[in-house]
Amino acid sequence: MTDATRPDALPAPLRDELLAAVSAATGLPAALVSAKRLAGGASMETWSVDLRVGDRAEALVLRRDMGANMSAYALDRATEFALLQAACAAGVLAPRPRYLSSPGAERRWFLMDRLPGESVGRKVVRSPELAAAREALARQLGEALAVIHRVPIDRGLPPLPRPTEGRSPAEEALHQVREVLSSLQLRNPVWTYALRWLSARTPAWDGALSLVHGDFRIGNLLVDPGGLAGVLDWEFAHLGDRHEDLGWVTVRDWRFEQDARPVGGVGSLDDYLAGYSSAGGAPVDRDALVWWELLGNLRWAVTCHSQAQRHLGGADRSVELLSLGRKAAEMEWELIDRIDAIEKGAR
Amino acid sequence: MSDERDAFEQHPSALDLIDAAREHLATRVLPTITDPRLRFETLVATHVLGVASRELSRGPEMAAEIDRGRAALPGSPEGDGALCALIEEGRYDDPEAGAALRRWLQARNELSLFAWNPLFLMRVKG
Repeated sequence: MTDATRPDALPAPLRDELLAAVSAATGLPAALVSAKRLAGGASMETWSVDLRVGDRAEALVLRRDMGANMSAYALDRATEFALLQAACAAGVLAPRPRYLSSPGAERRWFLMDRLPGESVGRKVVRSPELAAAREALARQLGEALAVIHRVPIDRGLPPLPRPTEGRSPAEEALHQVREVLSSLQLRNPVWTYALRWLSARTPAWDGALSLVHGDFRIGNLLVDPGGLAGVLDWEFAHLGDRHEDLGWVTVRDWRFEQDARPVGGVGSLDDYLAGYSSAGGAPVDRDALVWWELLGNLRWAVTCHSQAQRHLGGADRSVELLSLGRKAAEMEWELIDRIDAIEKGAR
Repeated sequence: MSDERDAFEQHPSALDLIDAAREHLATRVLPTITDPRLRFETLVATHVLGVASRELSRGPEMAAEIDRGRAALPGSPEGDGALCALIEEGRYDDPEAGAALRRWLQARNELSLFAWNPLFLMRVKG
């Protein structure tokens, strides 16, 4: 068995690339102390990396592109790096980006500060060590989103995806779901019905665009015993309707089976929205929040089938990706259940 | 003869093979794996064999139930493609037809979940 914490666990070409970039940025000699591959998403390679830069120890996390692209809507690493710089400058609770690979790197990466805390969803919602942290977490999630949504979008941000001219963020989201469905060439009456239902009820939009994190949910948030410690995984950030973020963390799958706590399996909607409001978040349209929650279920179901297709099409053979195609049934059940409740007036 | 007893059947059955492979992974392989990533992937592999087993054990019955339910919907669609076309045409926009459609969609989802995650179904149905 290999020792994954040994410095040579990091492939030598990557190690050399990384140390050269850090030395170039700091003018100091850099050495690798240890590296450990972290369990990560399906589109990104993540490492915990300890460096010695000059006489200083640096605890960092490396985010590096995998070969295959998970989504046409994801940011590249250079854009994500620039966005993190702007977000941190605006007071967002996020890891400070430190070093970016050179444009010539075969697969782009960046290094950011390693923050303390747990990000694995099941542990965040269940771990006894985090019980006290969970008490305040829903409120802190609301506060963190308010800070993100107040980041000025007209200065300091890198170019980010935004809705096509003439489409509201909701219409853009529906368009993107239809595009993915069209590429999948699958017919599923749950998707067709949900698309028709959501299309007939797109929320009113005042034309204001906000910075939207795009994947703000348990699993992408660091939590330590003191509470929320960092907002991670900014690759799906874009300009859009802030209700998209507000609804996404309430999707059932991100409760990790703690169904009685609608906000990420950790708290109540009232605490969450009180936190949002107290940190300067604009008034929340509850109907829009529910619409984005349902859209989130549909989008996640369709994404699961896309992931299965990566295996079936041969791009990325993985039983885990394949299995997601069947997991979609959970979101499909939720969609129909919620729509049925709304139609019956039992919201 | 088309009597079921005389139909060609493999022995052991496909279901027997899948169940044996799942049991082997769960009891002989998984306990020996220490690498967290490989362990997780093997757990997933074990799970999908269980999904296939549950689905095969009730497959024909499930498919027939889905087809019967769909044919009984307003507009009597003969398949998922025909049903999707009717939905897009607005055939289920009125409250009564919409409610009938949602009942069938949910029955269809429940059959999928019986194979994928029976515990989810127990949890959400209370």
